[in-house]
Amino acid sequence: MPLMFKRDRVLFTGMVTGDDAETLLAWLLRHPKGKIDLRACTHLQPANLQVLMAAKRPILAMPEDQALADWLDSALNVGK
Amino acid sequence: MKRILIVDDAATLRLYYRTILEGAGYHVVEAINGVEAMEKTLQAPFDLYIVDINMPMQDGYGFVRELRGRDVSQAPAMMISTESAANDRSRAYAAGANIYLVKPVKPDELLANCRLLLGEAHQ
Amino acid sequence: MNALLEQFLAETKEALQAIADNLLQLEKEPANDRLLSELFRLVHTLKGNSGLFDLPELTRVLHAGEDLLDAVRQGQVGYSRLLADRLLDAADYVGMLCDEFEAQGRVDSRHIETSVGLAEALRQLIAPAAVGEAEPSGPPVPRHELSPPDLPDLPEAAQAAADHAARQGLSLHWLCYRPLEECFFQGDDPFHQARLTPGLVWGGIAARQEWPDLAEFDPYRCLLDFRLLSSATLPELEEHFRYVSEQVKIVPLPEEFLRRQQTTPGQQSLPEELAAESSTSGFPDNKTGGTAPFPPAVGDLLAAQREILTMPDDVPWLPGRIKAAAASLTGCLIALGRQEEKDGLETALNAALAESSSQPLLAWLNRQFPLPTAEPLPQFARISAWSQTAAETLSEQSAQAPPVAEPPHPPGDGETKFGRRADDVLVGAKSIKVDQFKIDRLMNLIGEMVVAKNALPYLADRAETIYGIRDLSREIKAQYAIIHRIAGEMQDSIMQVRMMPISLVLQRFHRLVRDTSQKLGKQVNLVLQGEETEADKNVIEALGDPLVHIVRNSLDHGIESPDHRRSLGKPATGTIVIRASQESDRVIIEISDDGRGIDPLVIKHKAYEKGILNAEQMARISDQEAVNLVFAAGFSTAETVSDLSGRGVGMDVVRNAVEKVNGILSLESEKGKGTRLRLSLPLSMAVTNVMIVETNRQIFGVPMESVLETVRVPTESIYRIKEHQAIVLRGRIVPLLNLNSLLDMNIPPETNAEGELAVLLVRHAGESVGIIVDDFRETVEIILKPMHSVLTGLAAYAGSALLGNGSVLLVLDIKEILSCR
Repeated sequence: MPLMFKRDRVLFTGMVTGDDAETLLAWLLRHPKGKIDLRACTHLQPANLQVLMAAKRPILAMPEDQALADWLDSALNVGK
Repeated sequence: MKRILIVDDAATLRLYYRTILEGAGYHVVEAINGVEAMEKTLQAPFDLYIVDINMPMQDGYGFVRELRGRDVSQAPAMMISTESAANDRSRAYAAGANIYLVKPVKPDELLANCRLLLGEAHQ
Repeated sequence: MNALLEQFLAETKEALQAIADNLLQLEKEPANDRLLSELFRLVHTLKGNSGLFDLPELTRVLHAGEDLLDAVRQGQVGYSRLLADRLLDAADYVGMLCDEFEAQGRVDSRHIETSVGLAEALRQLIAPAAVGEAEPSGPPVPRHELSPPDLPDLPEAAQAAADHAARQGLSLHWLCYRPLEECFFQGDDPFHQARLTPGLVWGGIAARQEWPDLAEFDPYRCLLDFRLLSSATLPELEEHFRYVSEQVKIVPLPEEFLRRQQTTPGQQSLPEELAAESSTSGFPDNKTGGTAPFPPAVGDLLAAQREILTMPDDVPWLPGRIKAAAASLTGCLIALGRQEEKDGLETALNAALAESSSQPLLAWLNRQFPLPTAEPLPQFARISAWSQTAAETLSEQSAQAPPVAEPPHPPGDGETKFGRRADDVLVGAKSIKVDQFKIDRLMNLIGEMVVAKNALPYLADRAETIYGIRDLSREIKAQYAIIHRIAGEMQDSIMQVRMMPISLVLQRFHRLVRDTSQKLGKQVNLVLQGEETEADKNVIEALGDPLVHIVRNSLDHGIESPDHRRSLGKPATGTIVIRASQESDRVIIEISDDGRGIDPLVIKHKAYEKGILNAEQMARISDQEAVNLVFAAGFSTAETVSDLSGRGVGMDVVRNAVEKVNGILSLESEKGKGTRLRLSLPLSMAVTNVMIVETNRQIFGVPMESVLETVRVPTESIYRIKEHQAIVLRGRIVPLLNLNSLLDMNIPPETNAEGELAVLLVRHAGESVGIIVDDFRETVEIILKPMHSVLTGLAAYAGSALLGNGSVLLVLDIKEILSCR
């Protein structure tokens, strides 16, 4: 499961696919306080990224995959 | 599903080839030297071999030579070396390898050669 | 994605440890070729691995190390203390780089100078005169003097990356990639495409417009722009984006642009301008490309086959080589859509095989693909999804490394150079340590599972014979087949976990041989081969003591004193070789020495003196048989009982220890030339195959390795010679024994309806012996458990096992039974 939904957060793991974006969006709509944990993510299909960008939710952790983290840095405006 | 045997003592390289090949939909089996590779071949032959040269027990030349000599498999063999020396290339071909590539082999190069040797029309 | 990196780091650390061990060992035995070639192989492997990542500092040092070791291996350079020191330094440095790469995902550029220095130091040892030319990589760029050029409006990371790349002399391109809005529906992943851009220096993502409210948001309309800096060439970048070329704008960034301070037109404006130009209308349809694209690899492959077919034909594996070349050419034909030419190829192949010559195939090749293939090769269509490949992404990581203005590393000269110590914990992230107890427990459980599984056929039989439900019986059998397969695989996997390299026992022998030979005033060189051969842990453990004994024997009795050896014209230093290898499901270990060997005459006389042989036997016995007498109980050949291998313990102890784990021991020796002992052991001792035999209404198991064959013999064809019985089987007389009487049951054996006796042929002391039983039953896999408590003394039984129907099976120790008779 690339997306794991916890009570107050969603965990991204490995490769998150295009189909996951719909689930993600639905969950975020149902959980207005839901936060994002990208620690174990290695890649995400950009539909997911758009959801994250539009949702502007707190990012609890950026990916450990440094290359991915660097890319997302500009999109999610974290830390800068 | 085409079966490919990777023969290399370096675990990193095995993982590297495996990632590329499995990503392209091949069934990948690994062996850490020529002896193990021969055992696995005798269990079930492969469609393609990817063979490192410098290995313990039995090196790549020896393995391919045995493969051809015992006539257990006539599947194409790709030999991968760190050296681009013409001498090594000739030895590989004399032993019975079908293409000689120099490390590090880029994914595109690896896959292009696999597809050709396996007779797969590219798209 | 990071699995490759993890693997690389784990393998590197392991190899570095082995390199350090080998170097220390070499210090003691500088002439040990095996250590040297192992060392070379380790460095060579590391260098090969490092090529996958963008780690030039690491590769440079490893390359120099490899070249140096190659020179040592070739005998061009002698081993020296200095050489070891420099190699150890290099190993520490490589370890330090790996640690840093692991911790930070990149390697700091300040290490370049150190790496050049280390590589030079290594190369100096190869040819002190020719340093400098050897590594033309140029002097390191002074990293700390330039202040970072200003690239306003770019994120700090991008500025830094651009600055870093530019100072390395790389020319940069700025790319703006605006995918089609509907691209997700085509299954495209533009982000992935962007991440895989060659020479990526920096990448960022921006939205094209304000995002709407989440509730009205359509995530599948792509509204992202990807911007990136790349150090790749324009053709490389065009190649990478060729399917979406009209969605990508590429402009070179002139060098002075980067160097300029306070650039007026903000960096942001440039991509904006590009983005504005990029058209979002129309869907790219360039995938179809030209007709019949010709992969560039085809040319190489054809050339390779041509070269193969021009190789000399005088090799025994020629037919295989020709077939493989033909198979490769067939692949090319199919890939090129030229299937119709396959028949011609087939004919040429057959002709080549018939003539044992590559010529016919070569002629075909030259006809179909004439040599001057001058026609330009149209672009090869993109080689699709190796999407998960890590290499590019990994190299991006290090390429993206922004320069850090840290002071240069102080040129340390202490023991703890590069901050690494001998006690640095080396744990591969991909492996875990498990308590052996847990594995043993797993092993026992799977053993029980195998046994429990074996109850199913009994159940099926009962369903049919007792309850008369045939279909149920059949279904149980079908289920059994599945469980049988899974249990088998589980068992295999668990056995794999228990497999350990033989090096674990062999390692200690270096020390043993050194100490013992010094004590004896002998010079001995120990050569270990095939240490990576694996076997079950129990087997490995059972091997230790017998091996020590054998090697001590060789040292003590085998190898002569240096003076004596010289007088015989042998090299003063004796050699003991321990070679491990695997042969199907057995591990073979050979211990050979070039010592005095065993004199069968001496053995015969000794045996006579000790009463092992009588005069008549002594005259009759062959030399080989005599040599094997050293395994007889209570035999010791030492002229003087030495401190080491004497003490009344002889080779019989070794034999017993080996046979306990179902091993076979054999010995060859030539007087004056040396002795070779061969141990053959099962790879695993966990599961035993036994044949069930029935006698006097009881069942017993006989290990399959003792069973030669089973025969049914008519009672009338049994010869009686006094109280002995025998049969003639394929022209040979085979003595017959009755299992009932062997087990002290005075009941005659039963015959079957045809009046035949069931005879189990077993091998005992090199001869076939027939054992009469009442009947044979099936063979089963069992987990043999040793006899417990008071039963331990019953030597006739090798152990017991639980059968599927819950009954206990006693397994006979055939050897014991026959020798106690």
